[in-house]
Amino acid sequence: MSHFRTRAGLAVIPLSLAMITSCSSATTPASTASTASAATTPASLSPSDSPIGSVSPTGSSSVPASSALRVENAWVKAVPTLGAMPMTGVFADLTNTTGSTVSVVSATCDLGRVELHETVSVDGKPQMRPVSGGFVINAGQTRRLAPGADHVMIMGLKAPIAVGDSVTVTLTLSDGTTMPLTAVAKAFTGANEKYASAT
Amino acid sequence: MTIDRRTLLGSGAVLTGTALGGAVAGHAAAAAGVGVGATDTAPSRSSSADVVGPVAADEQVPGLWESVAFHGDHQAGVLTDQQRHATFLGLDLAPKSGPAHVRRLLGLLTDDAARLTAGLPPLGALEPASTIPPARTTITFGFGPGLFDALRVPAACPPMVRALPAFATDRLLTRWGQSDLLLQVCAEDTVTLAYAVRRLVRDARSFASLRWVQHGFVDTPNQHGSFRNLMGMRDGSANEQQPSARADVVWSKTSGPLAWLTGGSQAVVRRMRIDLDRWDDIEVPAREAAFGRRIADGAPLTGSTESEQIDRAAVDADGFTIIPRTAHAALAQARTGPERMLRRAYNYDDGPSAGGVPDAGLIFVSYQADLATAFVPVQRRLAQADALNVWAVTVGSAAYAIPPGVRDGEVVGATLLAHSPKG
Repeated sequence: MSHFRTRAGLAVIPLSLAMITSCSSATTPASTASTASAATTPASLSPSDSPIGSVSPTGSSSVPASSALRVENAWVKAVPTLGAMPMTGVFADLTNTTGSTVSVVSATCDLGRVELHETVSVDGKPQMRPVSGGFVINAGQTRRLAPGADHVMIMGLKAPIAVGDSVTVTLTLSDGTTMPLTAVAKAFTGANEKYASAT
Repeated sequence: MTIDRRTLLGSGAVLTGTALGGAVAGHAAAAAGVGVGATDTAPSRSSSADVVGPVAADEQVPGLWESVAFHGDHQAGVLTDQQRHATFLGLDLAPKSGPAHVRRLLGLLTDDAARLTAGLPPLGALEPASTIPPARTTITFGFGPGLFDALRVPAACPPMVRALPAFATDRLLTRWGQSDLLLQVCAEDTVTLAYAVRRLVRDARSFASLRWVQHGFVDTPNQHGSFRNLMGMRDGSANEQQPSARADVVWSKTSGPLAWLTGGSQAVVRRMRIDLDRWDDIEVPAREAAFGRRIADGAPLTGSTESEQIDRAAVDADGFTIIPRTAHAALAQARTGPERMLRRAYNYDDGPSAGGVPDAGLIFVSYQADLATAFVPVQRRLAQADALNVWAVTVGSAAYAIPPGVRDGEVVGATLLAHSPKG
């Protein structure tokens, strides 16, 4: 499995330590170098390894087999330049591999403040809002996080996310465990969702 | 005949693309002759559980619901039975691109290609899988000199890819010239092809610009695997037919700085504009003399079937050689084993102009283990004497190293990236 390194901008080192404890395939030796270069070069030109190794249509997973949730097809909307509303969405298919209900109750990311959002219809228009109770996934079920539906929001982005960058969000599950969700940044045009509360 | 689901779907309707990781090489569909009411003489591999989406009309397009495996020892789209449509993308990396950019670009494109060829939407696409049939899509990557330089491994670029010699008949335009990266995207269906190209370019444009886009088409290849070019002649008749011989012709066995290319190939993509108005007014015997083959069936003038070898030495009753010395097929014929290449060309037609002048010809593509022993000496002979030079002129030329196959979870060009600095 190829290596991937996070584009966490200002705080690479703490996140990379979390990567070591939660995912054995992560490596960090050169993270220090990328932190140094991130400070002086535009984010999109900073070194980063290929993030792609973990996602293939054959369904290979980006987390250890012992985790309650299997993550597949993870991606994040690239934000090449931070504009007035520096936020982005993270999407994936989360499969509950256990025999009982598992919820994603919260999440963190060094790139900004993370909220779990659902999309509801208000006056016939889609609106996003934090979902109470997190993402509930029944035993054996797959929950698809997608634009216009449930997703993970990163608000107040501290650094741009270039196309092809790798972003890791740490999910906290209802059983108290945490797990990484590593997403590759894909080019995406403007989103249509309105936010229920201004950020 | 009863029209039931089994009859409608025929024997070629195998939707393997959505079986994660499973795919079937695309020989069967073209040969199966699927269609409404087709007699199912081949063992049927379809069942209603396998197939999603196709209706009777879809089965008129051979291979529409078939997919070609992306992963393997070799890239697909080289020995793959030729699909009817192709788009060639010549991409140039953004200035100052380094190893990190190339790795990210290739990572994105590899993932896109693996999904698209399996009939799946790529990451970030919102439509469901069943809307786009896989249509035997192949996406083949080629590396130009600029990519090796960006990766800081210039010595890993084959010399002929770095600098293909000039040929006396070339009238090259840089707009059709060498690019840093090649994507050869082929499919049986035009909508599938357009979708694949669009998704690939969406990711590529953050890293590269398009030097050129060349759209190509062929009619359905015959049992011999050849198609008709716009001059009306069968094209690709001299390709090796035996699978082991074909493999021998194309796959590189290299060492030293080129060791990474073992299991890959070397290719040229050359745009040849043909003066079809003038060609149309040439009488048939003259056309056949220029080619060295008969129009009707592609057989050499010295033979009776397309698959026969040209006999350059055969003489008629008066002692004159039957096939003119300047005939294209005679000059192009490989004199030695290493001169053999696999021709996989496509017709193009981007006209007519406002004045009604055709802008059409051949996107000549060949694959060989080593350009230096195959394409280059053959093209030298053609440039010197080919009768077709009267009507066909090469206006674009680009050469590429074709990396070996991609393993699941790896990025295309992994064997080359292993030698490149990380960033």
